[in-house]
Formats: sequence, structure tokens, C-alpha cells
Amino acid sequence: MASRHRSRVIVGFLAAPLLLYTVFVASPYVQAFYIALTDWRGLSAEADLVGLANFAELSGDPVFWKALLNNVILLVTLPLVTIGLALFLAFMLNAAGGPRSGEIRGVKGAGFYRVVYFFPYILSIAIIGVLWTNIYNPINGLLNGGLRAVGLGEVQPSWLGDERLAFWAVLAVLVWNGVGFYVVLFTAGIKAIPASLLEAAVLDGASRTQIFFRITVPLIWENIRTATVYLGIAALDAFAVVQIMTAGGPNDSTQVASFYLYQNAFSYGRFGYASAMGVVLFAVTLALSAFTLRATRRERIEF
Amino acid sequence: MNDRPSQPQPTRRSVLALIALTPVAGALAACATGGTRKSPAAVATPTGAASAGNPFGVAVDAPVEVVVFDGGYGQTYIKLPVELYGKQHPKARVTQTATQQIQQSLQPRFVAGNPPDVVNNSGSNAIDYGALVKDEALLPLQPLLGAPSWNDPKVTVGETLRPGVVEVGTHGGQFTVLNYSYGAYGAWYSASLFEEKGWTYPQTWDAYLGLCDKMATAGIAPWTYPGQFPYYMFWWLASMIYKVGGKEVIDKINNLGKDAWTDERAVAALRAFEAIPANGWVLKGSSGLNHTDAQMQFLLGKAGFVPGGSWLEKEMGDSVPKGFDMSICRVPSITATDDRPFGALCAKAGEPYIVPRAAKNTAGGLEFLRAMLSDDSAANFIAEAGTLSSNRRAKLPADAKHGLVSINAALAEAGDNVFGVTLDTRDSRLWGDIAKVMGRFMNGDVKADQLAKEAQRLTDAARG
Repeated sequence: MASRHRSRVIVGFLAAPLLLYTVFVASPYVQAFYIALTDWRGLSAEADLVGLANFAELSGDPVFWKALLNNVILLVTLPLVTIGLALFLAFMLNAAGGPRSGEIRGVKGAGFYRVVYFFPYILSIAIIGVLWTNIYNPINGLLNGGLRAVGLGEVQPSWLGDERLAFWAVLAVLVWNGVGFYVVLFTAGIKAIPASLLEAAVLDGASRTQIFFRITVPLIWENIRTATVYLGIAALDAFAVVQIMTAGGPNDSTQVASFYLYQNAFSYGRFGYASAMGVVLFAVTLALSAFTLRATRRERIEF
Repeated sequence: MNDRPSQPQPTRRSVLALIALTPVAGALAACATGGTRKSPAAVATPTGAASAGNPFGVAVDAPVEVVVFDGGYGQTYIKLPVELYGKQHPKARVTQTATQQIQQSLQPRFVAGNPPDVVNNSGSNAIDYGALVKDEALLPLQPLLGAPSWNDPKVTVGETLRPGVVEVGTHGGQFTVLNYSYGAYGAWYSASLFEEKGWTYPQTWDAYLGLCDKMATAGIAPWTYPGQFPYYMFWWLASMIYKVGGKEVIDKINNLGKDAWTDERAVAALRAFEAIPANGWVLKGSSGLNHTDAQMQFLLGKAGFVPGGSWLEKEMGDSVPKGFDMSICRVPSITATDDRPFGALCAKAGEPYIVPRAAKNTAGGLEFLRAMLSDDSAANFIAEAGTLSSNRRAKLPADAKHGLVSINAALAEAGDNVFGVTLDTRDSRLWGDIAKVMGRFMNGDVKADQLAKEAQRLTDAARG
């Protein structure tokens, strides 16, 4: 009896979210798989089945491959740079200060820096895009103005207009935007490390670098893993910043799959083709997430 | 603290999170197919009887819904035709709204078979015309051409239109899009700067290059362009091609023809322009500018020429310095055997209005377009929007700006030597792809011959 009652409660709680999930998440996915097999242009209720033609075209679409490659580069660089920087900053703010072999604490003014680093994360992504577009403006922008001010008037890169630079300029914005959040995340992790462990390490004569690599990083590995997953998601998306700052240009050098998909659907009126891209991205995302979780698997350390 | 193995739970959850966040497929399908199959309705609609003051037989009390694109021309100009319509049909309620997101806000209504009666399908978020045409979503507007004009019953609406309006609005053999504004495209120069420096506008390309050299010597970069939107170069480069090759080559380009860009006349025009980037006569940093940035550089006197069209003067508004008189550029003579005379111009009707076939009151839609094309509405549009109207009889306001007057004069001089670029509405993808190559042409990465070859390759691929 009790178990029947319990199952009724469980069903009661699960029904609503499950229904919502089915209607708003699962069913669109299923539909997308169907639309990917059509030439739907997004205007009428009619669409003709074209089989796998969209996928065949996709496999020979150089822009799509370029976009996917950019996503992969982002997937490697964005987590690496962001987490590296965030770890470094979090360590500086929490465990790099204090006398050489004494109490462990953050550098001077750590509280202030923590707030400053977090600022970009509070801004809306649209504001960040517009802000940085102006900073990167090759003629009136802050960056080139700064270069002129220090006597580098001859070095005036067209940050977002140069095929060789634009992608990295966009990557820098993504890092700038994200790093504050991960500093906070890692700070929480570092604070949870028992002081006795760190003290013991100091007493044993460990340097700050050794403490960082031998104690801090292993003990907050779970946080780093979470960060990797989140940043991986951000890297596979990157839609907003690309749309606002470069629209994929110049010459598709900053094109990413999500924006190319959007262009095909909403600018070129090719919803069927765009859905085929969605299906491919779905598979790629699934494969990559499985891979990430497997690759970062480690024994959990108890403390 | 926690002796649970760490893998299984977070793993499954993270995977689900990833799935849920895959940004793409879900959003698309939400508005997807599955409605009832609907065959396009017959041409005309609900209806009172046609009469002299009511050529389309509008039901007198049928409401009309108009959606305007709230872009560079604003939306105040639409108030007058709304008022005129109301005077003619006092019992009809005209509702007018404006948006910058035409596609996002109206696409679901097209899918649902419930679109507004008149749509100003314009801007970067317009609904793709290729898709609209293929789905037969547009009402043919031929009846409008034969109807008496609003002001003079003896003259038909068709007779009040400027050249090319019907051609540009014809898709798949049917006149379905009424382009309401009329503008020149190409590039601008500063007449006031020319006067100050004692320069005259060149008649030949050699003289043009000589002038560019003088500009560069004077510390002014001859050209700038919006690298973020390289399609701005399309109109000027096409103008040069038209000057050398005439209608034949332009038609090939517009119609995705074979040997269009690689036609030797097209290549000759592109080669002529190649001197500009090759000599370093493009303002440094242009590749990273958007259109307003580039136009600002032009207004600040940092650049001599900037690509653009009729809208520029109004778009820059108060940013135009006092005493800055801009004039539209005409293409100098490039070869000894140019097909078109000096003064040939890229000019086209723009600001498209459509009547959806599935609209409830299509007769009211046609009648509203007729009210818009009245001399009063058109003159009001010129005054409000700062650009010419498709109605050739509409008058310029007394305080018309220098650029607008220069376009009016240039159009008069060009006469029939006028062409339009229609590739943008014909195949927006190809248009954008060719523009990308033009961007590389402007920053010197690609030469004229390569531009021609690549544009042709893209055209051939798009033709399928």
C-alpha cells in the first residue's frame, strides 16, 4: 500500500514537468529531425520531402565546415584559456598572498579585484557585444587609440575586419565575459579546502606553485570539470557575440555553426537545410559531451 | 564527507543539460509544419461592388491591417495614406502597426494563414522573397496598375510610376511587390569639399584616378567602405559594370547567368576599380567599420568617396556637418567603347510593400496601396523620408536637401540609362557570398580577375 501511495506521489510530481518537457523540448527535436528531410522554407504549412539531400549538401558546404572548425577551435581554446586564467586569478585572490612561509591568504585588495572580475558577467551579452565592437573600432576604438598613445601609431589593426584577427578578437571577448564567473566558482572551491592541509604543505616547505598544482587543482577538480562542461556549451554556441560583433565575417572567418544555421533559416529562408544542420550539431554535441565527461573522469579525493 | 561515487549522477545530468541547451534544433521546430494544407485562394476577395471611386470593390466596412517596417524612413509617412483611406471609406477601420522585426513577428502569421493585409516587407529582417514567391504567398498586383490613380482618374496608377518599378517588383512573371521609394545607389562625394579644393567631378576614369591621387596627397583617403557590410560595394561596382557592359551584362548578373562576371566587359570594369585598393587609396581600418562608421569618416572629410544610396543623407541626420553638401556619384567613362554614356545610374525602387494572398481583405490592401501612391502621400513621403518616391509626379519639398536634389537631377540626366540590381532579392545567399569576395577585393586580398572568377563560380553553383 505504502509503495503504491509513494508511486502515486512520484507520478503526480513528475507529470507536469514531463509534459512540459515533452511539448517544448522533446517534440520540437523530433520535428526538427523530420524537417531536416524536407525543403521547408518556413512560410507555408507545406513542405516536400527531399530525403537526405540536405545532409548531402551540408557535407559539401565549405562554410558549414569552416563554422564547425571554428566551433572546435573554440571548444579547445575557450575552456583552456578561461579556466587557466580563472584558476590563476582565483589562486591569487585566495592563496597567493601572505608571508612566504606563514599564513595563506589572498593578495592585497583581493575583495576589490573579485568584484571587478565579476563585472563583465553581470552585463548583458548584447551590451558586451556592442561595447567591444566599439573598443575594436580600428579608427575611433579604445584599443587602437591606446596603441597610438604609446607611440604605436603605425600598428593599427582592423581587429574585426581582418580575417586573421577577427576570430581571436571574438575569443578574447568570450574569455573576458566568462572569466569572472569561474573566478567566483573556483574561489568557492578553494575556500572549501581545509586550512590545515595548506598549512601542512607550507610547513613541509612547499612553494606557492607547488601548492597550486599539488593541492589546489586536485582538490577543486570537480569544479574545473563543471566549468569545462559549461564552457564547452558556450563554445558550441557563441551565437550572440558573433551575431552582434561580426555577423560571421569577414569572409566567414568568425562563422560558427549556430549562427550559420540561423542565417540559413532566417535570412535565406531555408528551414529544412537549417534543421539538417541542427541535427548534425545535435549529434556532435552529444558525442562531445560524452567524450568530455569520460576524458575528465578522475578519482574523487576525499577531504 | 561524501562517499558516493562521483560519476553517474552528474554525468547523466550534464548530458541532459547539454541536450537541452543545444541551441538549435528546438527553437526551429517550435513554429514548424503541421497546419492544414491550404491551396492559394483565387486572386480577388471580399467585396462590395466596384465603382468609380472604388476600383477594387472594397467592402466599405472591412478593416484593413497595415504593418510598416520602422526603419530608416521612419513610420510617420504612413499616417497620410491611412487618413486618405479613412476619408474614402469612412466605415473602414485601418489599423497600422510598425516593427523592425518583420520576419520574426509575421512569419508565424503567414504559417497560420492569417497575415496582415499590407506588409512593408523590408529591412534586414524581411521575409525572404524567394521563399514567398515559391510558396505563392503574394497577391499579384496587376489590378493596381490598371486602376485609376488617386488624384486623376484619367491617369492609371501604372502611368504614375517611375521606370523599373514594375520590373523590380516582378517575381516569377507576376508583379507582386510594390516598391514605394525610389532611390539612386552607388557612391557619394562631397560637393562642398570639391568646391573648397577646386576639384571638378571627373568625366573619365583616368581623370578619376588622377583626382584620387590628389586626394591622397591632400591627406584624404579617396575611399572608405563598411567592411562589416561589404555588400555596400555591390551597387558601385555594378554601376561600373553597367557603364562598360550595359544592360546585357547586368541582366546576366541579375539572372544568375553564365559568363556574367567573367564577361570581359565586367572584368574590365572591375580591373579599372582595382587601382583604388592597389594604390592604398582605401582608408586604413575600413575593413573593421560598419556603415555608419564609414559614413562618419566620409562626413568628417577623412575619405573622399563612400558607397551607399539615397538613404545616407537622412540616415546620418544631424551628423552631417553644416555646409556639407553631398552629391551622388556618376560613373566616369572607363573604356573607349563603354556601352552607356556618362550619367548612367543605378536606380531602383525600394521599400517593398506586399499584399499577402491569404490576407482577409486583399481588396482593401490594393486600395491602401493606391492611396499610398497618391501624389499627396508620395510628396509627403519624400518630405518625411528624404528620398524619392516611385510616383514620378510627386513634388520635392522646397527645403529638399542637397543630396536629394542631386539624385533628382542625376535621374533626369540619366533618362533611360538606369539599371537596378535585383540579385539581392533574387538570391540573398548569393548576394551575400559575392559581397564577401568584394570585401576581400577592397582590402586587397583579392584582385579583379579573382573577384570575377569567384563571383562567377558562386553564381554557377547557385544556379544549380
